[in-house]
Amino acid sequence: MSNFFGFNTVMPGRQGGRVALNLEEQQELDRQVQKYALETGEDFEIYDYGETYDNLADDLEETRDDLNDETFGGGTDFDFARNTRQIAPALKKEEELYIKQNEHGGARRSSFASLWETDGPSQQDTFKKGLPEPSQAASSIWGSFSNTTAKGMELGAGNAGFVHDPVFGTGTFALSRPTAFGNNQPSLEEIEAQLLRTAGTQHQAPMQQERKMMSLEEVEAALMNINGGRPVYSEAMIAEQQAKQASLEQRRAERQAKQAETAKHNGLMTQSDKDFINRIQISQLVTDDPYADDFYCQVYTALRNRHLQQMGVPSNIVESESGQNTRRGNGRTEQRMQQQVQRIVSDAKRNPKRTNVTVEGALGKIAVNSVLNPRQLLQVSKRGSHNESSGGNSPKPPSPGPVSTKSHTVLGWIENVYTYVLALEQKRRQQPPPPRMGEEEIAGEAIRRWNEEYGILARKMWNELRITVPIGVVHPHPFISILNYSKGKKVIPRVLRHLLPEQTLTLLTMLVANFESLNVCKAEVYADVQGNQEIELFMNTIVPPLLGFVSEAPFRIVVGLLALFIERNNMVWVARSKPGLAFLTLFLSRAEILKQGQGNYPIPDEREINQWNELYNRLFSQLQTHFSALFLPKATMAEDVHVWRFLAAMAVGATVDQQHVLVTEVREQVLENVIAAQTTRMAPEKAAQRIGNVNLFLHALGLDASQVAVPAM
Amino acid sequence: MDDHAPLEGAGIEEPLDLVRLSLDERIYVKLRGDRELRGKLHAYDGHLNMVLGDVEETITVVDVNEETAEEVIRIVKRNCEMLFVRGDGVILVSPPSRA
Amino acid sequence: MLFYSFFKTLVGQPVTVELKNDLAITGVLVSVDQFLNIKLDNIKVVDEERYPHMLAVKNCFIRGSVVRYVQLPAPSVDTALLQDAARRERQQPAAGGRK
Repeated sequence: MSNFFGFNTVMPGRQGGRVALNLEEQQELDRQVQKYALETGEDFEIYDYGETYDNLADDLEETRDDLNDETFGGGTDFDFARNTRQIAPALKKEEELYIKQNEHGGARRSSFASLWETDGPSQQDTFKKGLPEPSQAASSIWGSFSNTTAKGMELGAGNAGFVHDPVFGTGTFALSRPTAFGNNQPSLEEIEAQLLRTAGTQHQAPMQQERKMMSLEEVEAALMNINGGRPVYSEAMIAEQQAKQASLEQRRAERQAKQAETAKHNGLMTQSDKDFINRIQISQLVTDDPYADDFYCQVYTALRNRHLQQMGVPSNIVESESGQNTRRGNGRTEQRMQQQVQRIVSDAKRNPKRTNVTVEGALGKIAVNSVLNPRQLLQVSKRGSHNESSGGNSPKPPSPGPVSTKSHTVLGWIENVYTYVLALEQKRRQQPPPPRMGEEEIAGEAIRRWNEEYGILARKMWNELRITVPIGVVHPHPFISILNYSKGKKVIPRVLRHLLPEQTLTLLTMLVANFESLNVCKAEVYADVQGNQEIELFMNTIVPPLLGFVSEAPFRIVVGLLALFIERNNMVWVARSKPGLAFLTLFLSRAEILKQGQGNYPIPDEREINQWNELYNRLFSQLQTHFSALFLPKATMAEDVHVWRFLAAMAVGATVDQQHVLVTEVREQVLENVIAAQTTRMAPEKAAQRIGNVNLFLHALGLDASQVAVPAM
Repeated sequence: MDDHAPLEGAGIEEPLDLVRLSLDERIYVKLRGDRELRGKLHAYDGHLNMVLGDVEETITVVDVNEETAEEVIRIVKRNCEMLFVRGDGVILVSPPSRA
Repeated sequence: MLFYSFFKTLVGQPVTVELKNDLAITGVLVSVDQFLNIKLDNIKVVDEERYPHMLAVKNCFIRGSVVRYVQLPAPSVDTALLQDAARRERQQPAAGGRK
């Protein structure tokens, strides 16, 4: 783990040379691997510090990392070495402890190092990487340990405590498994001494200990030994051998010098220090928000899976299809990882002052521009405070001052609404779970804080909608301007989810009061395709949720809304539009239901009924002589169903005289439909639909299409 | 998303915020190689990679008559329902020329 | 990461990649990476007469930087979600320092 993320805690010199180069290559490779592993969400076990954890840090206060700044020097000019030096004595103790704990690991490698050391040039050649001299291993286990760690990584194995099976076999030999050494570990000195003893029988020692794999030279040597004779070399071969050996010696000397150079930095950090840093670095790469970087894919896949499941496709197929989500690795490790990350994240939240790119305390800094986060091509420094933002489009809500309604201003409001809606939706995803036994207090605090933050966001969103801007300051009203954009319409159902009932009522009131300035009320929008799309959008996004709201409203509110509607809008104009008719129908039918005592409200009293009748009569008289004009010219099938529905709603509440007026005015349309349905040219289902539409109206009058006498043609 | 700082005064602070205003709106994009696009903006990023819907591409081709050395300007139009545009070819992005 | 995330959902879908040298290749999207490099399978060059040497090629890897457009199957794109994803992308601090 000391080579985590390519961050070599041994701090090798960068003078180049073979070892350093190999290390760098390895680091690069490690980096790639880690990145990939993170990317694919696999290999969580790589980050399992628990396995390599030496328990030295158990004494540390881990739950509250408040003192980290003190411990690690905090600040941007971070000087780890000096701080560590100050506690050198303690470190030394820890180091000793560590050596003892890891003795067999360090010793094992040292022993092999010395073993190969005494074993002639041929083996040296096949084991190019070079291992520390026995003398060095003895004098500074710490140092040699660090070096062998790098070596171990190259050979595919971790350091002493690493859980992964070492793949030592990649070289020319295979180590016997560590367990072969048993529990009763000989001390380093003992091994050393034993090795020196066995060095006398040079060539046989390795042969007996390592059987699994042998290089060509070894096989040759073995054969020679079996034959009882030494290999016969020619003069040239010997000379070559010697030259080779000389160069090897030289290389080894260089390496040693370099190791000695870097060795003075060895042991600056204990394992717990390294683990601590590892954790900080991991915490930067893991987030508690799985949507942060992959929002589209995550949500899209989730939606598709749900869709497929509804269609009866077994979920496991779906799961394997979206393969990215599957994770291997044992659950325990993952769980612990999550816990630790949660702790770090919640800690970061508690200390919001740390807003740096890197968490303070991390050695080095994770590159700001990475593959995950490429450099943005356009970067303009943000202006500090929003006070200086240009006056014209200041988002200060809801200032009754001069509010311009240029298109980009309105678009800006809409995008701000989206910003808060997205933030609110994100907040809902992060809603704290209900308190568990014994944790009520902590959970209660979290819930309280969550509610507070949620409330703030909801209030900001509400302000951004500009519903409370007084009527008449600007025309059209800012809220209506928002609704005149298709994305403004689309956001309304999502907005309504976060509004309080009284806010919804305010929204509805404002909409009703300014209805005629909606672009969907303009007659010309019916002319082109785009206009029709806007109308459809309005009918699909804004009408349904408000319909839901009105269909639960008490009589008093319905009366109030209709009164406002009639008073503030030209009814003939509004009723010609599909949305306008939809709202009228909505109010009329709701009032009718409440008048009949349905719904969960008491039957309205006489005064209210009178009020309503007065309203109805006003509406009727305004629309009188215009009823047939509600039908759009060249009305095609099914497109006038909303008109029939409205006529039906009118008919239900009408007096006999009014019903008579209604029938007279739309008589032509009724006849037209009935006749058209009876002609043979029309498909049966279309004919049925037309009759159905007419019957909507006729049934409300107690009539039926079949009673309509068709005049002879 | 967890801190509100970036949301405060979520007005227009950098050029890309202007592009954001055009999300779900039709835009005009000028590209290298005498190409122009008009379409509805569905997504963009800091490189000005974009996804556009209902796109109309206009390519201006200048044919040179070899004999007279006369330049003939030819305009080719193509349509595409959904198009990813790589940002490195983008010269400018603007709302369509209507009011 | 928005478009990487986006393209991941299109794996297995037929797309047409148009390169900056006007070569257009239709094929099934096999994979995509953070650089928006693209792997295609069962490829077919749109203008085979102009590029006969591509006839024998059955699959290919396209470096992201040479892409001009990618034509996408519109039904496989959730535009509302995509717009939201673009909005979220902008809100993340420019430095990417999330927690």
